[in-house]
Amino acid sequence: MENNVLLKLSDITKEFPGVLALNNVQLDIRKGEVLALVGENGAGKSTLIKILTGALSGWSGEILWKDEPLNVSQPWEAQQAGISTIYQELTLCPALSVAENVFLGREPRFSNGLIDWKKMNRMTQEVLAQLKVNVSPAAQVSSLTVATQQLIEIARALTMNAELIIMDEPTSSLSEHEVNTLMEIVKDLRSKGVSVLYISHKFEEIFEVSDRISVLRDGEYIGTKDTKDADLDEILSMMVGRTVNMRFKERTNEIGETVFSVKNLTAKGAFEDISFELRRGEILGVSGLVGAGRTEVARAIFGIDRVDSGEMMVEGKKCRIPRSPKEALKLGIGLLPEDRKEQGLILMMSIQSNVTMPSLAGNKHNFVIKAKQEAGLVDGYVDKLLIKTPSIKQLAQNLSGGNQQKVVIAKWLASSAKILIFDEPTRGIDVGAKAEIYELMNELVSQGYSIIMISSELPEVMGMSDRIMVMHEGKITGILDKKEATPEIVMGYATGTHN
Amino acid sequence: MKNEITANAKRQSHRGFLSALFNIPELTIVLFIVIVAIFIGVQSNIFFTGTNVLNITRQIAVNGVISIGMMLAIIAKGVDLSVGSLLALVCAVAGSLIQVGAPAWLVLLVSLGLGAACGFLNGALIVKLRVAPIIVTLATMNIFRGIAYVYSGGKWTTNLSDDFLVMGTGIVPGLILAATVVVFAVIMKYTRFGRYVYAIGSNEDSARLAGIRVDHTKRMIFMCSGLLSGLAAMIFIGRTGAIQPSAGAGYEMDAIGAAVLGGVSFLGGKGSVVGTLLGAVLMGLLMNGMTLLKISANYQGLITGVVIILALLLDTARTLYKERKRQ
Repeated sequence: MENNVLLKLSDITKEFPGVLALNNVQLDIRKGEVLALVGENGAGKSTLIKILTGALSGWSGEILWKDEPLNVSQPWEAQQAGISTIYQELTLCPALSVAENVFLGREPRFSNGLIDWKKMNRMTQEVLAQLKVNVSPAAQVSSLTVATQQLIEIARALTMNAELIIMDEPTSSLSEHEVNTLMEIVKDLRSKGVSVLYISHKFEEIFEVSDRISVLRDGEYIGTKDTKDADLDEILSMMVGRTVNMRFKERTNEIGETVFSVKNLTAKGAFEDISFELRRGEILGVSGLVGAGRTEVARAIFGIDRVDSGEMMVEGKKCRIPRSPKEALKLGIGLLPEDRKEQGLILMMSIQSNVTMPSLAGNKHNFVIKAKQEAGLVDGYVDKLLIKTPSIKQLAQNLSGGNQQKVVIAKWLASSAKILIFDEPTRGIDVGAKAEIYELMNELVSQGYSIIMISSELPEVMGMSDRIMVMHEGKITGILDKKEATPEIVMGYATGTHN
Repeated sequence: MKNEITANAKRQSHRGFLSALFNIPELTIVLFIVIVAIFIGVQSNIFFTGTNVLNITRQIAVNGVISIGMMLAIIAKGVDLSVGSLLALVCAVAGSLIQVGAPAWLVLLVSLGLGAACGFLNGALIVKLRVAPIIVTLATMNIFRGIAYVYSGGKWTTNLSDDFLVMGTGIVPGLILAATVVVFAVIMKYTRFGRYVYAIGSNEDSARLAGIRVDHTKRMIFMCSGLLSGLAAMIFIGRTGAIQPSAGAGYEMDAIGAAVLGGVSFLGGKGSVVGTLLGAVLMGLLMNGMTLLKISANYQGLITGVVIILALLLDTARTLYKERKRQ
């Protein structure tokens, strides 16, 4: 093998409708090395892994595995070739035992074909001891904590005797102690000649364990550095180093008094000690990496999930933290959820029905829906928000992503909500529609609405926000004024390396 | 270090006899069976006689055998509504063979084969059409019943020779049920197929990621269910001594009832052969008891339904208690 290269990716390109997810990406992994892959959310890391493991098809380019073209179209084919993956989301069967999950699809059997439970439990015990996990192989997986389940996932990959292990954010739910154990295991694997592709946002881990660091940005390969020569600032600027797009307009509206605030909001396991305030006519950007707890905070404020403690004030008055979306709506809070199609809209219903849903719930006199009155109202919003549709009777599922998002916005405008939480408002929306949504947000704040905007896109956060709140692992690591925020500082707070 | 871990793990799994007993998932149903049996026994003096017990095993056998197939489908997050109709179809075909003088072993073989083939068809349709099992088997339920009527011309076959009655008399039905239970208990615990049924029901995506041939396993599940319906048809013929195209109407519901009472979860991934058997026993006891106590047929459905709800309530209460204790 040339230069000990185990896996070589050349010119990998993958296009989703409207998005170029990967553009001529190069990557090579040597035998017995730990290669860290870093990049912002949406840089294309997950897409790359899916291609490597056979979960995605329809890409172009070449993958060489030990100098031979790798051809996998099923996850288990990749496993057979010697590539095993620890996925970011858990892929265990909760109803089965630990041992069964570790050996699922590869159960040790007697010569008569029956499963050898004794051997399976013993082998599981051995690998668990190696990972210092103290659970019985017979325990049911659903009874374990998420961290332990993550370790079971790792145990499974270890028993496959793979030559390359892909770890996609393996430490996202582990405690510090468990992370240290994993670091030791990764080093041990390396000394045995196993290669590891280590994907993480946590630079401490990356600098401790990796040999080289490769950077992706916006679906493009930026470069690779030897870890011992690299420093954090350099890597961060490779990750974010782009000119912030100038399509964001300067807003001139006045920012008024505080209309909403929370103090010491805590929900165990999701976020803790969240305190911030929102002023009239302001856009508060919330930045952070996936899993930082941003969506969880939004859900708690909107009354979907309960909090353990904390206080909330709306329009200067102290109020109970909503226990249902209906209560939140009464307080004048609206939410555009992260998952537009699942939570923001009822796809099988018309634009009209979608828009008037929250306002219907608020109006007790509306026992019978007044269709005409409604239609007039909805027509108004369709014109105002430039929703491209032949009629308001059109089903939401037939609209483009951008227009669907506008329908969700219209829904809250039709209600009495004045405090709007936008969770990833432009995800999966094409550039033109993005600009329109930004325009709409600008107009909303000039009319006295206040917006909390959660976004994983750094340019969007930088360009749209009056202030930026950054979260890391369930805590606020910084609240910055627009003037003092640079991409590097925000990224530093988001990865917990800048404190 | 390792020994310590092992010891700890052992301690966790043997934390007192009482809590172990409490953790047996079938506990609720056993309790319920005891209560119902005592209640009926107190009211009727022939309930605990040998003849009646044998009688009960005969009544349970058909539903018990079908329920085990149903259990497979439900554990894999499906359901098989066609089992009752398939029983009728197998009966109709067996009847025509009997009339032309086919030997008993041939009739048995054809019945099992036909059941398995129809079950396989169910599975193949589910996999191919990517439609929920409840829809596909709802359709085939009507189709199988329809074919049974057309094939037999709606006529009954009676006056069967003793060869065909063997499977429904004496202790034979009970033995067939016991054998089925043992075979499937082993399959579910010790074969890859059995474990994959649980894996698919628990998380189909991870099963696929682990390299399990999900589609193949699904076809096999419904084939087993069909095969068991064919077997149940033979017991049914032996027990009633008559073949009719309306046979087995509503049996799918009895089988679902038995499986659910036995702790099989419609959320998938959970359930056992022994539990399902106990569910069928409870259903059988109820039917037998209500007959002995001369409860009018008008009330029987009502009482069965209420008992199912009560048993499930008790089970939910127990699960909630266990979860609270763990936290």
